[in-house]
Amino acid sequence: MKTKYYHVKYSKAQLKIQQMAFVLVAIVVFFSIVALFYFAINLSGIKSNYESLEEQKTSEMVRKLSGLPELRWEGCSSCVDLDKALLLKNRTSYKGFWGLEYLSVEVVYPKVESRECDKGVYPNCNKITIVGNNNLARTTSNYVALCRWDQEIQGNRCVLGKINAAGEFNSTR
Amino acid sequence: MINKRALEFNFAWMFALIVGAAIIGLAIYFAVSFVKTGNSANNAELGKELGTILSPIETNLEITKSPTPITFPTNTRIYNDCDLNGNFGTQLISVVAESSIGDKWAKPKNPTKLSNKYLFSSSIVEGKAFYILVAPFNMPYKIADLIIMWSEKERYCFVNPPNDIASDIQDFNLKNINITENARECVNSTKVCFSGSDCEINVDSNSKSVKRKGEKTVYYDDKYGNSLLYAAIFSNSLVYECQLKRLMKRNSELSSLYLSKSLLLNSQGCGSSVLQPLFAQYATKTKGMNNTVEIRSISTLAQGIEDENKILSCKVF
Repeated sequence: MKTKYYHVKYSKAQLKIQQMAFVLVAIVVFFSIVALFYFAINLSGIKSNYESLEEQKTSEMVRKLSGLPELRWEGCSSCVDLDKALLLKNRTSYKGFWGLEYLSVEVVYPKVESRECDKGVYPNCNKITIVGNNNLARTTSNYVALCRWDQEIQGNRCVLGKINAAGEFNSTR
Repeated sequence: MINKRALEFNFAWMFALIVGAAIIGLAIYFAVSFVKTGNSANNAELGKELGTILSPIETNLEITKSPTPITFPTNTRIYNDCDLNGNFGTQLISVVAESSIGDKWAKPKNPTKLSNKYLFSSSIVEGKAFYILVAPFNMPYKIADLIIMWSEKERYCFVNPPNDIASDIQDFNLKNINITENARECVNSTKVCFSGSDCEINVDSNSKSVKRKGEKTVYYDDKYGNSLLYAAIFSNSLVYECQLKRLMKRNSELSSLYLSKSLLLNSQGCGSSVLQPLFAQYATKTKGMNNTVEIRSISTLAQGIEDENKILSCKVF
């Protein structure tokens, strides 16, 4: 039996349609790739801006912490009331108030026994951790005077100390 | 003879037109979406920046101050909202920049939440420049710094203000606030009367109240400064009431903290047995504040605490 061969004839218009379809698909693919790049760059920009703003917020917060009514020693703008700091420790009502992942006050000079303060050992200790724990890499510090009423001298005593704080974004790093 | 030649509208043309229109339509849709997303991100960023800016303008000292105005590159709306949930409530700030594409003012989204800030202003403040007055609020100890804000578009005319208010306005060179002796001299501005009741905002120094036209009367107390008075003048009644309740919540927590401190001092041989029940009563009273009129009785309690603290050798605050 003799095989019949059919010749399919493509018209010029049909070829142009195919050509156009390929060009359109190529354009869509091209712009999609461009859009993907744009989003990737834009999103990384937003993330870095957010982190930078959080960092700024923390550093501004640390500068002002000694002025907060919860910590301030009345009558001195850069003095912290050590008694209030101790009482704020483990106070659940203040959870989330600070907007910080970590907050502590530390006696720098004169040297005292290096240990965490609680009501049992206070004031013979050097550190009061008010928020979080100490495992964060990026903390911001500010030197302040730490004041309290001293039973021994029957008057107020201030020592050199510092406030350490870390913003909430640090924990996600 | 009729010319039968016509433009050939074959399949290729139809295909190109339909697909072309679809691609252009999609491109426009995505472009508008990109712009809207960009605007939302920009607004959220502005809100965050504003929250950050509000920290350094607060004062560590016992003085009122007026820092440099906050300016935005375009016309901007600041939405001041307040939430009473939780131990301290929350200050919610949203910023929306005017847009030339789509809606002129997008709906405020993703507000910046702050537990320790108190912004007193109208619910929506609009403009490019925003003027600020920061005033410490004490009752009897410091509770917070009040941030009072108004825009370049808001003009106030204070009619016969008391001397201390007039000197504050002059000393701090508060913008868009004029002082006059006659309400008729006030042109294109919100009239604030300190004696009389025919202004948009009327201050009654006897009952210590502020009444805005069409809004409920709110109460302030000026035993420890004028911060609450300024707050009541520059904010609407809803914002003022909510923020005052938040301040009292914080006052309650502080009172409870001072009660603990008083007990600690007692254990060290220096304390006051009178002060402790006063702190306990004060904490309960301030936590349950329902109406701004209660600020009067709260203020009386505060005075009692202050008097008792003054005579102590080891002061609680």
